[in-house]
Amino acid sequence: MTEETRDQEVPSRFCDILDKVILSIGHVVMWSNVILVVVIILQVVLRYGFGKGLVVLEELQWHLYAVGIMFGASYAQILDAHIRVDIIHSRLSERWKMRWDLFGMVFLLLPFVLVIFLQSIDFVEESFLLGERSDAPLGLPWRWAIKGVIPISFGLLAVATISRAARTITNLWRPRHGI
Amino acid sequence: MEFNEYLVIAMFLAFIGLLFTGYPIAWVLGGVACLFTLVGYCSDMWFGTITGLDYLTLGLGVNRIYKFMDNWVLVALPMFIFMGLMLDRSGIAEGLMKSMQSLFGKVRGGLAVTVTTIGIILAASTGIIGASVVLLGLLSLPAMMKQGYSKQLALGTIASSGTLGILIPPSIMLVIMADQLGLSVGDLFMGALLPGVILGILYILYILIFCLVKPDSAPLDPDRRPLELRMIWDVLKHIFPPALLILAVLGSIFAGITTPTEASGVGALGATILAAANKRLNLKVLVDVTKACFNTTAYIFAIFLGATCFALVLRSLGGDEFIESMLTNIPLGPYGIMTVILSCIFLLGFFLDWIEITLIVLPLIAPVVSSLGFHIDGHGVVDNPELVWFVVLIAVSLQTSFLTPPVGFALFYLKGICPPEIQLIDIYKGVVPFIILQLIGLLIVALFPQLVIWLPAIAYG
Repeated sequence: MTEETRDQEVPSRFCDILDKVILSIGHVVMWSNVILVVVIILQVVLRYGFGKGLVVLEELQWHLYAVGIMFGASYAQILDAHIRVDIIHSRLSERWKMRWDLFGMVFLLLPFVLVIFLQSIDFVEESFLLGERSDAPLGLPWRWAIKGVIPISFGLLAVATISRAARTITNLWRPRHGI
Repeated sequence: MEFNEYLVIAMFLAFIGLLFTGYPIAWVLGGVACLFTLVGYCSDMWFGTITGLDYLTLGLGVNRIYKFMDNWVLVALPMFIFMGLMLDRSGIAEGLMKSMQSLFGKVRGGLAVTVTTIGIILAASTGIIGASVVLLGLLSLPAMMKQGYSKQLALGTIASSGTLGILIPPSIMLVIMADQLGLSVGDLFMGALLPGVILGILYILYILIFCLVKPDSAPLDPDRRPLELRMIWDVLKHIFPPALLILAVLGSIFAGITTPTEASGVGALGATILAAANKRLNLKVLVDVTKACFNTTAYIFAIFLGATCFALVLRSLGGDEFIESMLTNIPLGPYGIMTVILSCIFLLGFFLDWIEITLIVLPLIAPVVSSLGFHIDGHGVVDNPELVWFVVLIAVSLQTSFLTPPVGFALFYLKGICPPEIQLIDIYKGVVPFIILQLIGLLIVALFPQLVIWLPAIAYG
């Protein structure tokens, strides 16, 4: 193995680890949807069977849903599942696809993720300092915790993007085969 | 024109241009919002313009993202997606296909009618047109080819029946439209039901007539057997459980017994029970469905994240008033403006999914529709009858555009699962008559708004 190829494998091995971490987080968080089914059914049974629903269960529903939708973004980023318009894209060469991808990550996705990440930290901090909780007396405490899902999920999205960007850069800079 | 209006136009152009680089739509939206905030901020500083855009404008984006999380209506979304994915894996479609095929084996075109019927029944499916088209195609294309159906008839039937899913409730597209426009989910579900069924009936009539006129395009099943009572019983046995599930979900929303969110959770459980009853449920299926549900929800909501920031910046620039005044100044009268809007949406549907159109375009045109002064009788019980009717028209237009060559989404999904001897041009030829049927359906709904309003009106009246 030459010095050069070893250099290129280090980032890709590092990326593998990052990707694996995000996928594992996703594989845990994805069960929130199944728990959501259970919570809804429980609420329906309590309300129509016993005539009273619980505020906690009602709030738990959107907490579970919120966790599911927000953590999914980084998971789908690793799996490359986000919807693209591929009319032209599918006809480009691999190299051009990678170049546009890198362009998108650097100029579109990363600025967006960074701005929302930084702003959401203030958002959560404010809620934490106020000791914000549910408006309903019997609702869930710790409103800042569910708000904290925004910076955490955008942080993960940033990690997923950086991992992908690092991989794309290594692939682009790798000397072409057969030349 | 003012500087802000130029910026609005530039934003749209940048969005559309960058889309074609193939970068994910969600991030193009979010990125364009950030870039234009920077542009606005810099030009305020250096050129004395008053866009009012700065870092704090984008901070409001966080509030709007939180509004999506803290949203009762949208909780139904992952649940309906779960229900659809589980129904796809439950073996119900296969059972229906087999039993109806033997019943309708004697009727010319019976197989194509079967496909349309399954399309209507399974329209409860994800509302992600790809899923229904792929499911119907894998299930029925080999059978139709084996029986010697003409390629065009077979392909056209599959593509069009597969797209019915985004229209017929419970459809996740309607849930999002209701949320964006502040309409009742129940009203929209009920409003879309009759138009969806009318389209299905139009398809079936067309197939039957076409097969009468051109018998060679749909040969009869060579192993058909005489009609027996057992066959009818077999079909009923297969149709009853999913029909009951969908009736229970829709019925409890329509009767006002449960909220759409609760009904969606019940539907998700019901689909799981059906899968278990068909002996299809095991840990692997549950994990697969959960994963697919997580992933699908994720890419839909990613577009929510980007689109909300895009809309925020657009609104700060006065983009909504600009577009409203542009549309209302078209000198064509209300029906002319309506045609222009629907045509734009039809064209957008060529390269955008319904998600982006619903999130960006719909909120922009809703005030225009309300100001056009269509006087539709809501019978005193349907709020905003004009808007409900218009949203259903938009839904039908979108569904049509997904079918329309050269770039309709449904056509590519279908091509993806076809054997290699089938060319894209066969699919194009196959869908043409169905597009005409769609336009007829659209015209019927446009001329008779009561087809949309009547059902919600009697339900609440």
